[in-house]
Amino acid sequence: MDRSLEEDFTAFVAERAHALLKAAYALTGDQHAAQDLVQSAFAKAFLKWRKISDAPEPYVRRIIYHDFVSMWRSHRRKREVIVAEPPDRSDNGELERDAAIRLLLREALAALPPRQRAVIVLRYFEDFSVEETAAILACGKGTVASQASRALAKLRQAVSQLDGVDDLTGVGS
Amino acid sequence: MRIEQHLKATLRELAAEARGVDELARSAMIHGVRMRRRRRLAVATGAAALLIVALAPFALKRASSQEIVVGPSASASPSVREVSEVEPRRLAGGWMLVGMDNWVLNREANSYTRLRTDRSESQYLPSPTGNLAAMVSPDREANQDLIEFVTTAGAPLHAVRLRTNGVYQWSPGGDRLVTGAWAVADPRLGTGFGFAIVDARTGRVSSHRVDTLRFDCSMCTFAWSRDGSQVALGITNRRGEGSELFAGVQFFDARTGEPARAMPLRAMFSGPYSWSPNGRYVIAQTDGLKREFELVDTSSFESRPFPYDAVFVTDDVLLAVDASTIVAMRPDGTVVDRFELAGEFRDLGAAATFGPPS
Repeated sequence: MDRSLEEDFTAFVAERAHALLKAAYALTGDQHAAQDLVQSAFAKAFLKWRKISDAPEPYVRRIIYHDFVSMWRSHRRKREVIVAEPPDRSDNGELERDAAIRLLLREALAALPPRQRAVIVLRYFEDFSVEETAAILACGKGTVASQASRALAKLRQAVSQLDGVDDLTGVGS
Repeated sequence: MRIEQHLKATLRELAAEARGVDELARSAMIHGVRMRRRRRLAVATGAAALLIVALAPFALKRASSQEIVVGPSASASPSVREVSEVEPRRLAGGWMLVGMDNWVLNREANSYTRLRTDRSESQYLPSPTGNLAAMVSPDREANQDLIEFVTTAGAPLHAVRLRTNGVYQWSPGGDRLVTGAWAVADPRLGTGFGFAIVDARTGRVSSHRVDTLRFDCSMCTFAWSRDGSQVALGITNRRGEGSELFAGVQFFDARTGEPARAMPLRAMFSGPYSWSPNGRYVIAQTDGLKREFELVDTSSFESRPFPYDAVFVTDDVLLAVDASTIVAMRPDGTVVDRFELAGEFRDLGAAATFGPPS
């Protein structure tokens, strides 16, 4: 690869690495795993750089999510998911309750199957549409809808351990 | 606060913990070179087997470096095994639901049929006219998508292999599919990114290189104009801050691929029916990474938030999907009608596709 293409690749990585690392971290919940995922995707992109350099990000993003779903299928089963005791509800108000909900959500996210977690990150972190999520994960729109629905049901169930969360059952648009 | 809002906040907090990595580009390049060496070794050992395969009498016609057209006989026949009991229903303006996931409207039979491939991870794209569908299956090894065109009665038409960005859209006439494509050759610009238009009736592919130095993009998805004569690309500056924010829309001639017109619309629309029939209003998204929509008056480029990525059925009525409900509304957001999706379609609402009257 000639020098200008390498410079172009380096510039792309410098500009987009952090954003992609954030998405990978939301997927894996682990700094090293996120770095591995992104580095591997960048390496694959580097090999194809001549062909994809005009629009590399969709290519890299597709690889990150695909590798996460396919590689973490077996890996996930070996992971130990620590489920914290739900904090006692105190009278300290909304902030404490929200913090407890998010703590439970983190744990529930870590326990989701990889494809469901990928759908959740694409839809609720990256804000992609059903169509875009389906395209990145290379699956049907109905699969995205059903995986999201199942994942949300599990997340709702996880936070239902806390008292007073009846108002969390709303369905998003 | 609803769970979706808590979820978004949790994911943002989680992602914010990610630390940057120095030297990521350099280590990726080293990793890439190692991968290439391993692949070359694997290719050398597999060469003999490949030679045998290459000599087999395949009915493949190589049309160009990025295009292979496969005859109907080589296409996997989709099997239509199920017909839904849900009756197709006429919506506002005579529009209809033409598809939900792999359920597609067969206009001739006035029923919904389920398409299936024998491949995994396929996506099913019904044409808005309700007589054709595309089934797209990724081929990871070849780094290509296999696009199979079928009638909504299930008869195979053509199959095409392309290197694409995975995002496809039917033309409003339901006869062509546009997608972002890599490795598009061009004598002036060299090989690079562009768009491909596949004719569903013939399987022919026309690929057009986009000068991405002039027309930069980050999401790089293409959308048809309402009349189907042009395709549009949302222009962003991916080399700068806010690379997901649209700076304008560039239209290209769908036949020649030449740049046709630029529009100072700082938002990108989803498809041909995002436009009102009179061409004045459009539903568009200002930030490629936020599912927030605006109704833009293109006579003044004034905009206001709009709750859904809706389609215009007439100048005064739009259709959208809200969870498992179909909503008809006015451009001011007033809901004029709504009905629940029934049967097996109930959980697939977000995946619904609308089509105009035939």
